[in-house]
Amino acid sequence: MKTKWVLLVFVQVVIATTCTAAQQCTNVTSMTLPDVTKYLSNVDSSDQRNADCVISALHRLKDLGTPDAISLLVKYLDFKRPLTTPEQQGFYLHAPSISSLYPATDLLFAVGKRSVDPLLHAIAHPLTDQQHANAIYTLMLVFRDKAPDGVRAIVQASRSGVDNAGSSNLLRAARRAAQLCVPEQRHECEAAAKQ
Amino acid sequence: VRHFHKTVVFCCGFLLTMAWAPLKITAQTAALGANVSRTQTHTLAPTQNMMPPAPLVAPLFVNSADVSSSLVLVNPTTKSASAQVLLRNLQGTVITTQTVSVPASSRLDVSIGELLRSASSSETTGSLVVRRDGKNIAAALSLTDNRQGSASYLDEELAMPMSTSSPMLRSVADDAAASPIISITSIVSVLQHVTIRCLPEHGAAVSRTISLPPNATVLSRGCVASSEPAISFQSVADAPDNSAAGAVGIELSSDGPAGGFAAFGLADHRSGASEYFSAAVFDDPMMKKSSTTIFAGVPVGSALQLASGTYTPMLTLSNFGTKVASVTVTLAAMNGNSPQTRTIEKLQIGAGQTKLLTMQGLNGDQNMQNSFLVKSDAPAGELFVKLAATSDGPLHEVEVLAKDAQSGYDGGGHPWSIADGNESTLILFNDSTDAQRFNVAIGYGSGKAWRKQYTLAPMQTFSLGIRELIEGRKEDDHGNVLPSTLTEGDVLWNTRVNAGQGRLLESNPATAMARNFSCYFWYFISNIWFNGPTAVTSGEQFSEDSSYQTSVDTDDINECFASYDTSDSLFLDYSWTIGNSSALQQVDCGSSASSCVLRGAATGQSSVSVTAFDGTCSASAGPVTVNIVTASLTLRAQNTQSISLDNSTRSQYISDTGGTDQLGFFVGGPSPAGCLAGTEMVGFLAPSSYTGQINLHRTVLSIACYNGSTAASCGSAGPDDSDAAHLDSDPQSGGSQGKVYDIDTPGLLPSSSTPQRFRVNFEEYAALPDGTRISPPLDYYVVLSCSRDLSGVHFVLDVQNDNTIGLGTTPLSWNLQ
Repeated sequence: MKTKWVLLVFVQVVIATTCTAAQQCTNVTSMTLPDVTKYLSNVDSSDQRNADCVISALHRLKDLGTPDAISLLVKYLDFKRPLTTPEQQGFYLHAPSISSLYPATDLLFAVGKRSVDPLLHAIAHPLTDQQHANAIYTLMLVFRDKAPDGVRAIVQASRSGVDNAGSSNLLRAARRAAQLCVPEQRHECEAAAKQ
Repeated sequence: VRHFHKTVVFCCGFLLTMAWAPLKITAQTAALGANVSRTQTHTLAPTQNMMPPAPLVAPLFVNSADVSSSLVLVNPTTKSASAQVLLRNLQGTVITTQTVSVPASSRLDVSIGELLRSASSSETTGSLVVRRDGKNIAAALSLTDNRQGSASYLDEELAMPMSTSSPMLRSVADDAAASPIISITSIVSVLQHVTIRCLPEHGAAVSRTISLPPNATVLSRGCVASSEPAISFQSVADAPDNSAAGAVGIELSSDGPAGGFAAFGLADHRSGASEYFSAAVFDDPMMKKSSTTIFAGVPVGSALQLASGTYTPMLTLSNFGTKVASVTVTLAAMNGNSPQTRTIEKLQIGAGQTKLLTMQGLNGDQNMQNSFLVKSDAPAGELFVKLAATSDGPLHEVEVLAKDAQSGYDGGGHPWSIADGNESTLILFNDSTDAQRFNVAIGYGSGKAWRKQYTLAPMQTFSLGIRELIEGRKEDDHGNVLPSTLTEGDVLWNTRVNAGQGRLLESNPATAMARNFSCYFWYFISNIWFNGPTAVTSGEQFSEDSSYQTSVDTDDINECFASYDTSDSLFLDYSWTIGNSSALQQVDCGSSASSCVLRGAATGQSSVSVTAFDGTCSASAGPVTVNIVTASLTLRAQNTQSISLDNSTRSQYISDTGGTDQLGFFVGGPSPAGCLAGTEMVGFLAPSSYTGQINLHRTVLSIACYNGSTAASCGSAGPDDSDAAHLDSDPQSGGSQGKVYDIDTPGLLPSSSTPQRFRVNFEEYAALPDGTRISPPLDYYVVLSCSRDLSGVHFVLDVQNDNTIGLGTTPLSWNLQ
């Protein structure tokens, strides 16, 4: 009897948790920044079952567009969406790319120049290697029409009062960023990285 | 001083050009600011309104045992206002000055008796000046005659003499028992000589000249050969000159500066044991704009709103000109629901002649839906007309203020009350030749208003009983009803400039009381803007929708300066202008429509602008550039081709493919590599100079995947837009001069030697940011087979026509059959 009772409570907790999560995901498109922040801090983004909701929350951050929302979005640069079933089987309607696998990169690119400072901060003080790499990638996307300027922005940031570790990260990032330039601009980008 | 911090407006008016302002002001600027996406222009520069407002003058106040005076100041705007009230005695000496503040949307009653008492003054007669700090105070002096059992009221309109006025005033006094009492007040600091010329109905013209010391008031019987200035109103009222009875025209001309004096007259009447006054209102003939005078809402026969009796309209006409004036008197009366117009009289008024026309035996509408038009062939300002309806009942006379048919005003505002058994009736008259819409707004507190639009046929008089609206719980155009507890407030109306007249009758049949409020003011357009797309495509029909801001001026017309905004609507004529009609065509842009429906006719650039005219002022917006954009799509996907150099997504493509910019089929991509099909969709825009965003949209029409010949799950048809990183939506980026791009690389990453196969039909089109398609759809397909062996991935060529990218559609079967 006791076992049945414990099982019933467990089932109820699971149902309640699932329902709450579903409701949060449904409402995410109209959430305020504190709500989105709270949601993202509570959700296990590594759990693939939450991926759709996390992606919705990231879209909400882009739509909010405030500095705080953009900074939070930058923290999710290393959030990778799970592959779809066809992709897992090798069928890629679109070839896998950083922007398609890491939703925050494309969202920050859509935000535009307002994301530059948070991206530079992430490059200087990355939370993870993937976030660092994706921040460089995204920054160069933002500057895609004038890629050398993107490299210069990183170099300039390294000289703007950042600590030694940050400065070092930025200078390394500038060299990596130069490799993302198209061949015609590669030389200029590399020169910018050395300035 | 009593403050009434209410959301209602009492009515008052200014002689010459003074007008009433509405109460309900809403500051819409902030709310509308977000919508103001176009340039707006005012017709006149704001600096034209920097002149301080002219002082308002009441030439006569009385504070005696029989007659009392009360000044009503009204601020109908959302800005607080202040004014200095200055009382002078007949000699021009200042008795007292008091500065009063009138909060926004409120009314202030100032008892002249209390002002005198606070100054310990025993004066009973004098003049009054109101000096305002802005044009958001309206004022009126109310004289209450308590000589009879019940009070009778005379509303003395405050004059606003200005340097642009003429040095002449004219008036008509109706058939009185004595020569009118005229109060002439100097408002300048120089001695003037004022010639009084009277044109009596009976006998010869009388003329005399008086000396008017600086700031003094001369009070005397006007139309007598000689008269000493009175020492008080009581002294002159108690000594009537019976030798100068009858109707009379009065002209005052001064040798002083223009606008140097103001005047007001009282004609005393006796009916049996009763005595009462009627007003002789002085107007500047130079301010008259037409030779047609209108009297709206005249009791003819019996009148339900008034005390019992038969009301007989009586016209007094004075021709101050030097030529005979031909005059036509027309009555426009309601017969059931239809206005009927009939000529009552055609008469000639000789030069310098005054005639009394008593219109006995007329039948009219019992709801006072009767209006008179008096037209003459004399120049404007030469024939002056007064109308009063006399009664054989307890209410001896009802005066109706004359209105110039071309005054330039387009609205009015009046107080109303149904307290103490009183009735309030709004009377509107359409004196134009076309049907006209009248907006009526009745405020009922906290910025709320009951709003309804009425359409009046030409020559229709319409009476609206406010008690009936309240007690009948009549809904306005928005479904609102007036609170059942409401007993007083303000009523505002407006129509097209010079198209209509209006006034409010406050009456009480039981007490034989009737008061008229005939104050006009001026609504005008002060701003306009319109919203619509700035880019459309050829053949697209769209609408430009304009909005406007209404403002109100309590003083002057024709300044077109927006000091005080209101939420009231106007009746406007619109003029839409299209810059390049070969690119943009008008579909429906009527002169009375606030919207303009247009169609993109050909690629190119055009512009749209609008001007709205309210009859006096105009406001314009634009020109706003409108691009008519089209696009044609080209698919680039041959192995010999590479991604375009001006494609901003090029770096992305190279990153996606693992380092190549080659299009078509190749093995590449980030580790692990796969079989990829690189495509570049190019949108060529016309005009190529277009700088706005153009998006390419892709759709999967159908899709099939196979492992060998076995179907595999790989998604379904539907929207398949590229993410932002794979789109170049800026037609000028990278110097591309009118090209936008979309890159895509469908691919297979097989894990075994069993061929994996993709068969996909796509469709793509170009669109404006609002989704409007600007290109025909382009269908294309990608078929691809790939397998893996120990050396890596390879394209598989076991099916004919496999591994191709082409225009049109493909079969979806594994073998493309």
